Amino acid sequence: MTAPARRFALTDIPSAFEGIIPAAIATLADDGTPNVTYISVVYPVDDDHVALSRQFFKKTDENTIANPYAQVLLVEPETGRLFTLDLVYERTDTEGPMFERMRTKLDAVSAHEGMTNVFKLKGTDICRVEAVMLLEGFEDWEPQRRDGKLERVEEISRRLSDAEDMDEVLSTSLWACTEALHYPNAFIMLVDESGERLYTVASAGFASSGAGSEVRIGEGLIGVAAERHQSVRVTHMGRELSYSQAAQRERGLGEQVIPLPRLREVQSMMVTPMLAHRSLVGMLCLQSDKPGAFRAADECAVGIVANQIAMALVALPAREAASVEAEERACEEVAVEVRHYAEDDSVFLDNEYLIKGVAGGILWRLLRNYDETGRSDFSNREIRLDQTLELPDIKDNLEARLILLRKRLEERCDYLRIEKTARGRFRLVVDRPLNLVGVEGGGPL
Amino acid sequence: MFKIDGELKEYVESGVACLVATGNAEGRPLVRMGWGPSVREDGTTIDVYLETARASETLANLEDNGRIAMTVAHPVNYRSAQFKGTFKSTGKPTDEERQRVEQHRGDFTVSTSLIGDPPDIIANLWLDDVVRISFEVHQAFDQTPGPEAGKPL
Repeated sequence: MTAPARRFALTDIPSAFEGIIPAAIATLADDGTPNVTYISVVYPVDDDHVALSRQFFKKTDENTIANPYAQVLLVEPETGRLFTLDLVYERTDTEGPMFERMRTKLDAVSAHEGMTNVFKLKGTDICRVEAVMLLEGFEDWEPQRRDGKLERVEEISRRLSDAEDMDEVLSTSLWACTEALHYPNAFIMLVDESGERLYTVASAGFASSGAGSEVRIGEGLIGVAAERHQSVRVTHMGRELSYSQAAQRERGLGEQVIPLPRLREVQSMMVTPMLAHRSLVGMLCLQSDKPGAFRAADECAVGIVANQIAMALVALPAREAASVEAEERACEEVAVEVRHYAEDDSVFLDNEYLIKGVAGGILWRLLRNYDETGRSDFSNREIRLDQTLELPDIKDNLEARLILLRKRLEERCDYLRIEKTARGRFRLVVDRPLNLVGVEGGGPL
Repeated sequence: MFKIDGELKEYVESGVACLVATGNAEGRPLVRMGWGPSVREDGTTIDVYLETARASETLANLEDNGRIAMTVAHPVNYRSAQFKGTFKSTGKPTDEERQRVEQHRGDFTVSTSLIGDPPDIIANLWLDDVVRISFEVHQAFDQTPGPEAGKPL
């Protein structure tokens, strides 16, 4: 029996670069004294180069300048096989795509815990790889199976292009994540009318949908990724967050009116910007309770899908139609107090927060119309033309707000809902009497 | 000479991840995982164990120049420390030492499973047969990620 080949190529071990189990790096000072530490990020750059994150470790930095040789120890997470990379330091980059990608990842992870400047990336060290060697003791080896997700992107693309309205785009997007790509826990956030925030409009696989939850662009893991138009993969939440907590004590995350969708035991996370014509339309967010659930191949497939969703959203035609008159009678029950605060358009049902902003304004307008005239059928067009709502000039924004409003109503009450009746038309269904209370000032939020 | 106190000894001997680095005459560094790190009564000598099948280059480097560094890092809180010193001796472990290695591997499996690593994968990281490396500690450094990383202990 011949000994197994121990020399590998970088492309043979893609999962070892996912950071699921941290890598170690050893260097030598000019007097030969070794130095060894764990390292946050090792990324393959091409067939014979890797990029290393340069963060805290002054000694490693000094050593690589004095003596360019380094050895990295990597673990293949699905097998536990150990590999060494013999490296020769070539240069440090402080800008460029690899630097930006690494910087965004590190900033996003620290922002996730409400921390900033913890992982300040000083640069990426570009090193030539002289050898990739498997350590002794791993005789059985099977090639990694190829991921077939990219093949499914074609069908996703076709279905998205067939979607006729925002509802269909969003449901198709969730189908793409959960059924076609097998990511059961997904949510979609869209950029709001101010361009400063993202709000959750659709989700699948969470105990609470999180519809209406918000993130400020530039803050938190999702916000940082959104601001930089970069996807971020966290392959091991437990490890990466404990790492960040070691570097700086956690700060409060602040109050959120509606919590973001979140698995109880989230271990992996991938957030991907949805870009159309270089503009951010929203974020596609995936979670998993398994470490290493999202690999480089997933990032590639989801990146394509996210941009397809963005293109489908911005391409939605403004479909309008005249309204149709009809009436729905409310049941004779105790009246629900619907309180609306004009300052932020927040709406409360029997003192329970429901929604605010544009969606709150839309609901208030519908309810008042219903209350004053008995009308329950409306068209998107008349809402869009209503100057009092101050809708921004983004053609898909109204539909997104109506979907959000519908989901919030579905979650929060069983007596008030919005049903789609035809393209561009919907019905307000009221099953209990309402007592509308308009307040001019600001609400309790 | 650096003297390891009781608190630091307890930490070194907990369920930490352990790395051992050496270098050869051509200036090439070498890193391997270490197991069962333990501090002797004198507080200045550390025993650490490497898989025999993976230890030949490390031992050759130590015979050549004696320089060694060992870093321990706790998987849960990421507290890390690095010890640098000179090689004293190598040898086959006693039964008691083998038990110590087993104990450390068990503790390491527990601490990595707390952050979600599958124990069956972690168990693939090591081989049973080990060799002891003893070294005298000259310097110790705080290696915990953050602005203080690299400061002497």
